[in-house]
Amino acid sequence: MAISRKGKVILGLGVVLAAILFLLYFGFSNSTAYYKTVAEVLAESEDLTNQFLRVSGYLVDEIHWDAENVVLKFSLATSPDDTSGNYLPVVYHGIKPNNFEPGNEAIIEGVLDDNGVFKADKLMVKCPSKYEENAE
Amino acid sequence: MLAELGHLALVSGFLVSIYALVTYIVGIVGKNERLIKTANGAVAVTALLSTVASAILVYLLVVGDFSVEYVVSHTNRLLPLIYKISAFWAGQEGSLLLWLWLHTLIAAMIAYSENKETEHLRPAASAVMSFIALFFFGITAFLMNPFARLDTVYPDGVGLNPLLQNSGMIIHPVTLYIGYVAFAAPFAFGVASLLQKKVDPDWTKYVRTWTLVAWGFLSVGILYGAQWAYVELGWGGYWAWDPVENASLFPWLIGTAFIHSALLHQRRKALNATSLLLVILSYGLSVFGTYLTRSGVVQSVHGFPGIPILNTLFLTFLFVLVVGPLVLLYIRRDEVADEGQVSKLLSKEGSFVLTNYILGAATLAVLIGSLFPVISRNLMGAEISLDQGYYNMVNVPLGIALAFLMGACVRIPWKRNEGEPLFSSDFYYSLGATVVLVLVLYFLGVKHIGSALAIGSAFFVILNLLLEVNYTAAIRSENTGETGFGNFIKALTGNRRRLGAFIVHMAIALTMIGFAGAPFDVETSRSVKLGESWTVGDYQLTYKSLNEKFVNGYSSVYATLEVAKNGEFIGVMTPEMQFHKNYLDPQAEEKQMSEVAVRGNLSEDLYIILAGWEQGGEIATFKVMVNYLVNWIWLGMYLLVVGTVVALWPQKKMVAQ
Repeated sequence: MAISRKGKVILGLGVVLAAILFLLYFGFSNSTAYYKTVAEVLAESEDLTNQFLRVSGYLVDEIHWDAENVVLKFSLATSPDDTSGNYLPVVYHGIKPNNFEPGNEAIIEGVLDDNGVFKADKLMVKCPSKYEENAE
Repeated sequence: MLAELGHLALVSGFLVSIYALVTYIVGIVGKNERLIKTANGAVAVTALLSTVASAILVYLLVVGDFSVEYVVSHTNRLLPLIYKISAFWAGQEGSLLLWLWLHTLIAAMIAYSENKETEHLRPAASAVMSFIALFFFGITAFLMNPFARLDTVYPDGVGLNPLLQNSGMIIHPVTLYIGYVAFAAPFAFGVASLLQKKVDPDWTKYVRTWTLVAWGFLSVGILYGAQWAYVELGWGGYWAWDPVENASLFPWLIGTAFIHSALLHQRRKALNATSLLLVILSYGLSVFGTYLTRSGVVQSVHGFPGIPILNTLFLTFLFVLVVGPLVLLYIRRDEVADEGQVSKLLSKEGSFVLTNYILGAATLAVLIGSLFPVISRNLMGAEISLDQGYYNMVNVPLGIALAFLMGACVRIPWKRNEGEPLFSSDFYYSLGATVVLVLVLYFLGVKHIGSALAIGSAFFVILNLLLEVNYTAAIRSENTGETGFGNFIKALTGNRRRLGAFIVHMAIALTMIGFAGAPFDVETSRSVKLGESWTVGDYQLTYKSLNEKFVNGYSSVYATLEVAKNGEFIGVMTPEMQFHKNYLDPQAEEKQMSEVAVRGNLSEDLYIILAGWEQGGEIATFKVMVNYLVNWIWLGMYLLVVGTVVALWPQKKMVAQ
């Protein structure tokens, strides 16, 4: 009797665990984004086309804000002092975030289209956190 | 001079902590009361030293000693006094000192406690506390010295990041830290009981107060942080499942499991090993969360530069802190075995075990999600991040299951006679009513199953909490002859702890209602001409003007909008964009910060961000959101504070009344 009770407890917990694993699996399969740097995206652009990506890069002096249509076009560089001109062009339908200025780091999420333009659904400028680097 | 004195206090604190730790160990091993008393004295000295160091740092910040790097980096002359003080925890070095200060105060409270019941555990617990203090003294004294001087004296400081100039900056970090730090107390007692010759069977009883203090502050810290992000950052959201945000959830979820596990241990002598495991993890995850936040190991929107040596030290400390006690727990596994047993899943005990499993699963899910970029980088060679969809997919069902358990568990009696049904019949009615409510909500409007279920389960929790009070009231009525509402209220308030739990569970249910609104949020961005009107949801907005004002320390551009709801004028709203100068470097770009305009009620918030303007304000761009049910979350937060305070209020006072 005692064993079968214990068995039931184990069985019950097993079901709970299985349900949790199922949730994890389901969560995984639907919401992954490859994290890439600008250099990686530019280098592997053919493989990455039409994949959901999360890209971090630095804003350069190419920011076009179309206020009338609320469209923001800009480019991301691999590093803050990258002047190679080898940038990732991005189109974002939405407002210009705070501190959207050359040199700041931005994180975008979205898809690289066939023309090599990144269509971002999400745009974040890294919040200059409370632990920001000290003044030189 | 003062800065050097502050640093000296930290170095001395480091040495005194070593002395305290060694003296405790020798005292405990040699059963030498006198040595233990000496060690207690040393703990008091460390508390004094860290207080002196903290006071000096605050003083330097307030008077503006711009020869100290930390002062230059986090304040300037124009900063209001309150933010000069809050700069104490605005940076890496200062916030480590705040941690240390709070920790040593708690350590001193433990060492000088007069509780007879915990006398035998206190020396070992204090030794554990001294070990932790040693680490934080070491870090602040030798690696992250908040008192470091610059080569030159600057005329002024950089100022505090404008995002941090908000009442949130005063409350959020401090409450969160008290939460993290206070988990050290139950941890220390847990480890101390494992170190006894005979593992103390009552340890969970002694740590109840500290655990609730830690949990309460952590809860408020998290919710207040969410509110701060919502009103301050202009992201329109309160939670983004960012790793840094998640870091505060790990100890909260495991701490919640510990509270329930400890309760079962006190009442049934069951789950002793589980409780020990959970208390070790609660504090371990507090430290881990802090490590994750500061290390730069995971990409976050709240960016931090990582400091390699600090990372290595933190990880080593964490390893000793967690693995040591876990090994001890494993070695003594037979001795901590339970007298009581959980033999049925469908029982009061069983519902506690299931609650723990779900909380553990949620912690694991959030942990995996937060670390997935690191895990995938090492295992799969590609960095993969999981987005909000993952967290919602996993946590919404877990949250709903948890709410169901919450409602059901309170209805299962602690003492059940053989053959007595698990639930009384009204439980099944409440279940039926909930199912009907969910179906009605789903088919008549709320076309989102997650939301309908979340509101349904919140209703189920609230209903069953009330039914349980009603049941207690019926018994009370039989014994006292009192009836009616007065009897109900007395049944509700008769037991402080139960009342506290009642209020906290109520608060969680209200918060769940708040979460249910998120899928319906409306968001639009639009550029409009001066005088133009447009419609968002039920609201009609008219852009009337754009003006500029100068406040001390920054300038602000604000738009004036007339707002009507369903055609009826309800007021004027003024979203702002602020520009904060860097006083050290006038050439540097000014920092922009949105000051959102929010107007709301229990049903929804109208939330307006001024995103930009052209031609001196002829055209302006606004992001307008209608966020549903958000205010229930804050309502839940306030109620949660009340519940925790009630649960902590000494029962004796009740009797005295």
